[in-house]
Amino acid sequence: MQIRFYATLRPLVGGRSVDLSDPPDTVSGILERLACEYEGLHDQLFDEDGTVRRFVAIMVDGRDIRHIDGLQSRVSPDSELDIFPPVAGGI
Amino acid sequence: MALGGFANRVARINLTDRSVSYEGINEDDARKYIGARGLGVKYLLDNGPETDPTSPDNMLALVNGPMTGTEVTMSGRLAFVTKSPLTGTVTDSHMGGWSAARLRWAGFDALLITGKADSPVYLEVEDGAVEIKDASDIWGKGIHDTVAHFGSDSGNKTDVSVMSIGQAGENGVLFASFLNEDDRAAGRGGTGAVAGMKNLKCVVVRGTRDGRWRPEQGEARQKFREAQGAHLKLIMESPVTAPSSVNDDGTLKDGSGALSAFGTNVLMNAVNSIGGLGTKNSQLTQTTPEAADAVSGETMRNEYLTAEPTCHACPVACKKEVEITEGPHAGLKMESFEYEPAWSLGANCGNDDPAVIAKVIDQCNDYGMDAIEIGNVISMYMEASERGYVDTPLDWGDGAGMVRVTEEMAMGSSSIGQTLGQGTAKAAAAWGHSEISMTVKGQAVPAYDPRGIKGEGLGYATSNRGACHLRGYTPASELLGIPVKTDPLDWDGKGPLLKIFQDLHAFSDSLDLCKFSAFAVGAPEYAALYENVVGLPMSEEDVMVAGERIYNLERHFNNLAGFDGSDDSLPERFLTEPASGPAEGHICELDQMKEQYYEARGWDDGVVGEAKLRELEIIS
Repeated sequence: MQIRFYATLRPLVGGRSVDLSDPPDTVSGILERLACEYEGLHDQLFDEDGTVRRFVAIMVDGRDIRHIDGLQSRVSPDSELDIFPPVAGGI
Repeated sequence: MALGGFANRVARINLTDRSVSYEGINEDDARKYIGARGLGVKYLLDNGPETDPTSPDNMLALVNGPMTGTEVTMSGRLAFVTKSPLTGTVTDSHMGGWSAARLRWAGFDALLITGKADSPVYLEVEDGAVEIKDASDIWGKGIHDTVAHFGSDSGNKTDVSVMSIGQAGENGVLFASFLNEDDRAAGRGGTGAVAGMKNLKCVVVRGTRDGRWRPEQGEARQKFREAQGAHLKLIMESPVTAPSSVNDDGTLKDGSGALSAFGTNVLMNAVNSIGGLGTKNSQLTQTTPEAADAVSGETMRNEYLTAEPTCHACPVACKKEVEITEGPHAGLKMESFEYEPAWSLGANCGNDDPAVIAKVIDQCNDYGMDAIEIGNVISMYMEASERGYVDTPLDWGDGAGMVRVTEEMAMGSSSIGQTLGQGTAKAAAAWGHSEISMTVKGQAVPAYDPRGIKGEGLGYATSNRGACHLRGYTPASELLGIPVKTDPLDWDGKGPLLKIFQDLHAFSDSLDLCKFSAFAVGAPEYAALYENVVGLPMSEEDVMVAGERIYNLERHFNNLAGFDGSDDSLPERFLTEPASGPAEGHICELDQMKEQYYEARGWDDGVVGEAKLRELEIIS
């Protein structure tokens, strides 16, 4: 499974994306794996109480997990994941 | 005049008889309409909503807000207000940079320009006086040369600002714009076209910080500092707007806000990921991740960045100066590689070459044209070509062709250029194919597809100045979660949500603070700043009422100019052709959202009734 990262998260994982073999079947499981592997990533994504930081956007096949089942959102091996830190702009 | 912040000086300039007169700010109007956008629309209403926008009678108003040029963070904005020759509506377009502050430091709240000079002129503004001067030696020049002519080509390092039109405004391009300091645009609505019709080339302003407003010593200054300090603290600490900084090795330090680090174009990948990025004239709603990333803020920072300039009183510094180092545009240094033109000239034109985007944006900044409209008019031309509607086709992604046709539009040097220079709507209509014009009230749509981000569909339709994302920025909620996260694919509730954004932005545009402040602060902070600058009581609720009053004032102007609910529409494509990508199958449910929106507004089919006008004290 390919997981794409953006903006300030890219330096933490050393590139635009990460390939995860034999991925877990929930977003929560995937993030746990990633947090173990990439130092600093956990603190960028989660608050101290373990909830996803406000304004961080995690997309599964283009749908923000806040509109699916949150961290328990299901993923399949051919799902596409995009993870964004707080991004805004627009002019 | 008892109101703080204001210079209490307005110049009325009649270019026909070359007269200048001066007056103070109308205090009652300033109380009700705040400044900048709100006050500007009131000046336009008093000038006559039925005025032909192409006639000398049309007014071009440059209006500051009470915050402009003060120490308040993000207070470097100026509103250009006029009746748009592109849309026929009232329009206001704001620029950042340093011109707004210098205009205030030179002693003015507003310049109200009417008439038409019998030969090219420019205005020189200094020490509370305006002079009308001969511009025959700069007429025909691009904006970059005009700015350099007056020695204002080094941004905040001089005391001179030049707000200028380019050849496009001189040649009647209806989406011509004003720019200052080379690259900061009042881009939308054709303010540059109005100036060109008046034979007005530019406004040159000389002013130093000595002219800025400051509170009285003592308690007033202490309270002002507290309000400004709270405002600044939220901006500095927001994960969105926090200023970025780099380590010795050039990497970003922890805590750098993405807007500051990557500029507005950090949105490119995010909007594309959810299927909200119009592609090939909005025939699709998503491009490939690779194509989006090739022109994204991340790529521009990592591969092309040369400098990060900023505007007056802004620590965010979202402006990114880039240099193209290879290919036919090698050596090009430019600013404002923003999200909107990166989309309009990128995915929307089937183009993933950042050098072409940089080149065409720079052309727009030199000829003086709206970079959102130009991407749309080119993409409409490309679709017309694909469908065999035109004899001289332009293929998707033809970068050299995009550069060529941009020049032809600005200079009016070809038949196709003259047609496209009238804007997307008129050009498509001239070919008998308005269905491929992605416009509302004659103005082209911005970079959020209404099928993938539905609140913006309603926002485009009900915007008082034609399609616009900045009247009510619902993506703050639909993408980011400010003030709460809403589903971009759900239409229910977007009417009341949009009203809140529209009213809040109408207020901040009238202060006039940068729109990006709203990512970190809101009505409580705006109210505290207003109270401590202007000196009048202002509650959070008052902020929203004043914003509502200004939005209704604009709508009232448009109603008097002949607009009603039938003009609050969207291109048929967004209503009937389903989206692609993650939003696959979705259309924009405009009618349902409009019903909720009109109910929240208290409007009858897009018209402000007399009772609402009285309630908001627009009429007595």
